[in-house]
Amino acid sequence: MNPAVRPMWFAWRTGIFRGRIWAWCWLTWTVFYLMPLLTGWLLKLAFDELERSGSITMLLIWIGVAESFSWVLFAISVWFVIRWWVSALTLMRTNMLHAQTASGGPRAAQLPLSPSEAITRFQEDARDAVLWTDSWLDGAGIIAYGIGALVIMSTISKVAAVVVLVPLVTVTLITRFLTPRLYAARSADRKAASTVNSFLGEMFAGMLAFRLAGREEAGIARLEQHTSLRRRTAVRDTVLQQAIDGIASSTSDVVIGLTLLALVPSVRDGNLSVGDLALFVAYAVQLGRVPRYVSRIITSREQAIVSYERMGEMVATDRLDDLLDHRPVTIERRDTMLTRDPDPGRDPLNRLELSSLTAVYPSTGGGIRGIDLSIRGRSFIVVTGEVGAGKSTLLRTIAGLDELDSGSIIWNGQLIEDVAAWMVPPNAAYLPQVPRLFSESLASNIALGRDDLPLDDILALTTLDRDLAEMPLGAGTRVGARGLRLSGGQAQRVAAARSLLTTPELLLIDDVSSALDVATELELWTRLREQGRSTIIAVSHRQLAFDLADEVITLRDGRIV
Amino acid sequence: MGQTSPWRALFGLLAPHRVRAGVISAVLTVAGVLPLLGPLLIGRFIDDADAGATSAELLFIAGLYVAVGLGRQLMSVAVAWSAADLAWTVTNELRSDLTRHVLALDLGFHRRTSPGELVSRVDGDVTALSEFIASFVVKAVSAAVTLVGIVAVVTWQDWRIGLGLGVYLAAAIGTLYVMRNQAVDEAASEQAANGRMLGEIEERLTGADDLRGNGGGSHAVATFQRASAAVLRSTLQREKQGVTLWVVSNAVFVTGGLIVLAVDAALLRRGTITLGAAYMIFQYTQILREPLGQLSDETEAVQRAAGGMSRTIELMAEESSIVNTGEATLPSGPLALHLDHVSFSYDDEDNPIPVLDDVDIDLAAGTTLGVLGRTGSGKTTLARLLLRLVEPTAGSVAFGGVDISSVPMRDLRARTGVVSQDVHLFAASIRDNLVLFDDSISDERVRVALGELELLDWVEGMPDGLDTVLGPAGSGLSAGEGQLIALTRLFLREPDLVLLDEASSRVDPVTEARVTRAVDRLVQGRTAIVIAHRLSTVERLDEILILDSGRVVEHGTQESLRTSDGSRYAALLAVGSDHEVDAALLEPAQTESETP
Repeated sequence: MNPAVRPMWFAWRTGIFRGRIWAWCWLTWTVFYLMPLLTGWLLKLAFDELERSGSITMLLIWIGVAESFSWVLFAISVWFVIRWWVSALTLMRTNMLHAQTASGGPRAAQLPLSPSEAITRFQEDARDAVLWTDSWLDGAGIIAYGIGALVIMSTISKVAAVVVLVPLVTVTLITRFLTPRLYAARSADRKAASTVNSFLGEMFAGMLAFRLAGREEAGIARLEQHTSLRRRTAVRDTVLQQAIDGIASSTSDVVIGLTLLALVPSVRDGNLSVGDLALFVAYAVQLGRVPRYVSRIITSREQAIVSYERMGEMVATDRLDDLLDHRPVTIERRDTMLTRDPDPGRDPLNRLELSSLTAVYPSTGGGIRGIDLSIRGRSFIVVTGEVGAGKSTLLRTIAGLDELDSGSIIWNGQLIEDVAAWMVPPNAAYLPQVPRLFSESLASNIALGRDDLPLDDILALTTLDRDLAEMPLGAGTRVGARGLRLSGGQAQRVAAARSLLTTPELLLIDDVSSALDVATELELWTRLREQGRSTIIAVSHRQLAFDLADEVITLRDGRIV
Repeated sequence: MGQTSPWRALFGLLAPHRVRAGVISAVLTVAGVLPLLGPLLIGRFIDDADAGATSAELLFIAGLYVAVGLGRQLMSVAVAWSAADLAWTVTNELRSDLTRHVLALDLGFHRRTSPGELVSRVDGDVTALSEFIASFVVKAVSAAVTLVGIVAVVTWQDWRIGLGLGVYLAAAIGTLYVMRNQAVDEAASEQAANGRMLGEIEERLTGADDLRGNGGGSHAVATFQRASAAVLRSTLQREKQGVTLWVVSNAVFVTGGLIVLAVDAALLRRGTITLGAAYMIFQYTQILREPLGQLSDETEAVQRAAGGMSRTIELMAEESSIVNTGEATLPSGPLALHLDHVSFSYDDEDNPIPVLDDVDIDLAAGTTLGVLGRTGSGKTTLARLLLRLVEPTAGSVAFGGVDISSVPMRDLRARTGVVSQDVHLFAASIRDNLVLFDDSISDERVRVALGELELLDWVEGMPDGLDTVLGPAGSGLSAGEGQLIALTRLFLREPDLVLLDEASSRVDPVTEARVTRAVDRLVQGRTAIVIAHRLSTVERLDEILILDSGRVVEHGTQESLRTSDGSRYAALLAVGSDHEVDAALLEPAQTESETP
């Protein structure tokens, strides 16, 4: 276990994030769990009256009142728990998302896996972590109930109260023994299921290969090997699950049976009423659930440890505590919705110096080596070179997206320590080679929350105004999942508008040639030159760009030639 | 589409295992009866104690109670085990049948349906079914037995209470069912809100560089929280339903219990029932809750399974457009090839142009033919016709003088072999890729084949030899190496007519030399059609055929075309051996876009 994972501390942090709501959860939930002690006692009184042939009408009314009260408690506590639950989930998700999208700062992190794999961190792992904190709510309630029940039972028969403990402890131990086996079986089953799935996928994708070779039956025979393995794992999983569930439900039976055994002497002595018996049975049924809750706390702790570790991959290295940093979560109706943080102040760029920038990817050996450049403010620099020459890496390191191995970036004579944090609008903006759009409106895609800035100039600059004229909703048009409703060129120009919006001091533009035709590219460069405020470093292969440039830099194998 | 009911189909699946299913049902019935014994025993305990029974008698009742509790547990595990095993055995058979069926469907079906979708239909839907059999049937049967049993026992004690209980139960089941169905809608909208929120996150993660580079991180967090606010709202909405359902079902149970207690009191006063019986009847109303809950909990599983089964039936009803009813036999030995006025057009609305137009080809047994033509000239369709993946719109194809539409598909496949341009490689070992998962082919035979094709050193040079496992989509091998795998696959099957679609992409010289040697060996003594992209390949073949816009524009022997004046082939040779044939063939100044 990673020593940074402290389950109890994390559970505490998760709970107190919405401390007041959390306290209400505890109060209502625990009282709710204690209510059956009262109704059980009223039931005992009712049966005692029946034995004496008395009237039970008042008692029945009281039972009804007590039950109704517990329903109200239940409704209130669910209301609190849900609000706390979703807030806690949102907090962890916010912290992970923030780390993944932050421009610089100590909390920024890089994605170590694919986005679709990362989603399980936001979904299952966040849920398991909250579940662990939540398991204490139920756990505390049922334990309080258990203690109360044993105390009340011992006032009637000490022997019976002690005897009840035996199956409870035994079952808790058995459940503890079986649960890890269930998890092992479950993960074996998931693995077997995914083998079946991927083999089927292979078969259907390679359908022609099987068919043309007349080897369908060989494929099916192999499929059957996989499915019969899965049959065994699935059966094992089901049986263990059933054993654990069944043990829990038969605990009540065993508890009742043992109580009856223990009560035989009292019955013989005439010291035990039917009401007492009814009370024991009613309490025993509830007590039978104790082992399940106890083992739930233990297993959810184990799952939470794994989940915390996995979520730790999403925040900055060695900063696991960031996960539960109490930052604003605004999801309730009365909350003022969160808006973007203000941009930093502008520092007009007169000179940008790059001094022996080196960033090499260990896996491929590609990257840049010892790049020295001095760039005058408001100049237009074009970077060119073959595939793999390091053009993108150069731009990405200046933008702070890739880490420098060594070297420094100097802005107006001042060394920049946190490049990623500095190189954001209005100081710098970055336009990637394959830009990503988001499924929000076209205007939001450009503004990224800077709603106070006018869009008109930028739409004209990127010639998007012509495209918008054909869209009924104009800039309010939703661009569809990942911008799929736009053409490649439109998407590229929306992304260009995004980086131009604040008229940044430094514009870093990766190769746009693939998405823009010659005329559009020419128009873009010409208009950018006319705008005249931004210093531009752009990757391009087209002569028209070279013609307009103040300087053309050719890279080969990560060095300037 | 057949109108088979999903439930009848399910019974059909279980029919071959009816003995086992019968035994399980019997055990389930017993398991459903066991919970009835508890209240009965306690009632007896109370009455016996009242009547002054001996300690031994009372101890016996209490001991029996413990034994019944443990017995229930053992029985539930045994049932779970055998039912799950049966469920998976049955559905695994269904998976195999479905897979076999899907593999035989025509190309049109496979073009419409992605492999991922097929996996979800063959495995996902069927798994819903196995879970249904393994869990629902087990729970529902014993829950139903318990419910019926309770009503029966109570009726036996006092028919009026029994009748009341029956009516009450029917009302309770009705109420729970209606309410639960409403809850399903709310659950769906909560899921949708959750999906949007997670989709938002995934999108932002994918575009993380765009956000970081343009200072958009805090915007992403803000919009994510808005999506989360929607999640909270929909969750609260769903819980409102959930809490209402819970409160109503509790109210129903508590009221039932209270009514029974009041009735008990009245009957006791009249002396109609004993105190033990009064307690027993009350206790029955308490244990109703579990089986009732189980029944209503599983309504969703029923819907899922029915949906899965209907989709399965639908898939089974898909039919291939290629009819496979012929019984003719092909002559043995190398096969001659004869295409008689063959035309073909895809009946797509977007593409009504004939792809092949009145094509006649004659090729003697054991001869090799090189086919040349631009992209879109009909080469691929020609290959598909020969493999009977599509049927000609007009005309016929014959091998060894026998029309191939009259030959059983299995025989046809056994006699023909193909190496396609983009060879499908499996994420499996090299061995499995060579023998296509056929475990009956020995390593020895594989090695001999590799040896004859001079490829043994190539395979043995891989990290684990034949056991080397390829990545997804065969990553780890180049396109040329994929061809080597396919050539070996073919060689192992010893077909009499082979069709080779040469890789058009560049292949490194070492691999190219290997491909050339292997092809030379493979075509020996066989009729071969080679769709070629390199002149160096066709120059070694007996005959040459050039396709243009679905028509045969040239067909002759190597010698005759080489020497004939004005032949396109001769012109190609003049351009030079190293030239890419496809590009050179573009001569008649045509720049139409490729047909997809």
